[in-house]
Amino acid sequence: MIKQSINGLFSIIALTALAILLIKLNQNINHQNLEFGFDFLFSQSGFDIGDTWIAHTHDQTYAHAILIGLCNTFILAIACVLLSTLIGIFFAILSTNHSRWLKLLSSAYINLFRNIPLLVQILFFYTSILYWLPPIEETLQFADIHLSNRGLFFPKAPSIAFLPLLLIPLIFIKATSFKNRKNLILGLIIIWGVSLFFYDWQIPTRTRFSLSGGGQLSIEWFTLLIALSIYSSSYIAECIRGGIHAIHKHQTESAKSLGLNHLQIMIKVILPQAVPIFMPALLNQYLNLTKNISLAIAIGYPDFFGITAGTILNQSGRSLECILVVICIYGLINTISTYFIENISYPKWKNHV
Amino acid sequence: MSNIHFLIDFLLFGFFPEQQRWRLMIILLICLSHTWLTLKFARHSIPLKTFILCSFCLLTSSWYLAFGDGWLLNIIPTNQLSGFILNICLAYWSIPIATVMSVGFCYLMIYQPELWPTHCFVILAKIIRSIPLITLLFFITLILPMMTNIEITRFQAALTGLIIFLIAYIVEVFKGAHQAIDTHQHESAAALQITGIRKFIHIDLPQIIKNSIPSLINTYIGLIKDTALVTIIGLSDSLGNLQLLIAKYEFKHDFLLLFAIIAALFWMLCFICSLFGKKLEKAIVYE
Repeated sequence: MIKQSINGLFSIIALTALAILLIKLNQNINHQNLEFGFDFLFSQSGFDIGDTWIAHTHDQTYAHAILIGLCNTFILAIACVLLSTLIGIFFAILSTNHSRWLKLLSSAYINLFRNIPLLVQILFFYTSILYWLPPIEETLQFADIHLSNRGLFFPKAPSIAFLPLLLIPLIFIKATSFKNRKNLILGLIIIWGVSLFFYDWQIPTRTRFSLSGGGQLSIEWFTLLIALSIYSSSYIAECIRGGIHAIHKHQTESAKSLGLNHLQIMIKVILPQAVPIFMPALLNQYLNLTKNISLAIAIGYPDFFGITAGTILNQSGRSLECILVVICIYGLINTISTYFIENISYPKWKNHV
Repeated sequence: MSNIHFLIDFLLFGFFPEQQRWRLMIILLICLSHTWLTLKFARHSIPLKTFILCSFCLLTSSWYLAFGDGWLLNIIPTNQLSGFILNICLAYWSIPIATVMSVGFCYLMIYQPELWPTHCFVILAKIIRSIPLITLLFFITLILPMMTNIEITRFQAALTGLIIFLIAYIVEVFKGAHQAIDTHQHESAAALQITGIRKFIHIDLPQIIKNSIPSLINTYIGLIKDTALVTIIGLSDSLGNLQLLIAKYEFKHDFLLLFAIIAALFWMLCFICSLFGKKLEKAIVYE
């Protein structure tokens, strides 16, 4: 009885409040001569995005710009995940070392970068890179690779050249029964490397104010890569360290009695067993990393959040719709990934040992 | 380096009027004494009612000191509260409020899971946990004024956003801690006929707090770091002041020093927080 009355009362109050809010919102939107609706997403955007993997020009739609932003976010996320996992595993292994100094180094790294806000780190790397790297007129040059405070310029092969690389994970997963798998992959890589010489390379050449042609990675991208990788690697190292500590001590002792050294014990015995233990926490860190990419708005890198809630919001004035799009897409990403994190069975690589 | 005094001063206190700095010092003292009080409470040195009363007095007096009333103390506009003291104030005001509120929501989630308010809250908390904090801050600064026709200052928007964000995370921590409680506790409570809100206050809540302290402190540290994000919505906290300084030509070459100061300040704050957590963990013992 009490429950039903609470439910009724709550629904009346909540619905009235919601109705008042929506009416006010509608009034305010009409006051600005706008109408609520998502059809503006399919009108011309009118701005170019400079720093993207797929080009966006001003005559394409807002929806296209949002997709380009998502693409930027995901590519940066993948790069950061790879780099931060490598650094994290390195420092986790370092922290299990017997040497006191190496342990101290690892814990100093973890504690230092975990306790400084990510935004401070991003701005620090951005300012220092802009300050230390030379201007575009006097680039640091190595062969045809130029490094300046506008970014890294490098010769580029057409993107078809990189398609054969997709075969390698395929072979890795499918051809498990094939005996000389390593040799096959090595041979394929060599053939692919030789084939690269036959493509037309675009080489960056000096124009009046800048370098044109070839590929370019901007300073903002590099800054985010470095800062996010360092920040999340400190969390990842902590996760992996926890997983390593959960493995029974006997495993280390038996491996030692077989004559393996410290690094071999870690990579071949302990880490494969620790994977199912630290994997859920690790995937959560990857998810956090993807959310943290939204801080790119502070240094002006056009990621998904920066394009949607920054550029498009300011350009079209549709603040409500833009924020709703952001919330929906982040919610979607989060829901899908938490579903996977909770439901996949983590690989137990016992055969590997 | 005669400038260093000025730089540190500007990063710490920002645009707060020079004659009124003593008020900020008292706020810092209040923060420290509140942590000390919490430790005292955890060691059973002071009773619950005194603790709640003292906490309330400390919070309101720190708010009063920061903004004044125009009668005894000068009124300070919210945009003049800046610098690192703003980060400390945001953290100090959002953490107790969010914790107390999430205790209430935790009760709803555990004992009244079928009520409609609980369902609404759970869905909202899920959405808030899935978006980055800046999205929430943007929502509060841009959409909420349009919905309610209330002028919200950036400071209020930031404080609201941080509190909402913190509640969504703390409730999750509390839920996990509640699942860790031994089933015997519930059975013994049922045998003694302790049910409903009395059971929550006397049996569940103490154990929830005790179980959740490590992850609670982690959440608090996360929040302290997240207070740096308010610079994106245009508040001049320590990071915003730093960007103002770097934009000036005369301090352009001192950026390493400036960043080192900011990093050291945040690091110290987080370190104090984790130290506090360790002490609290040792202090709470139920016989």
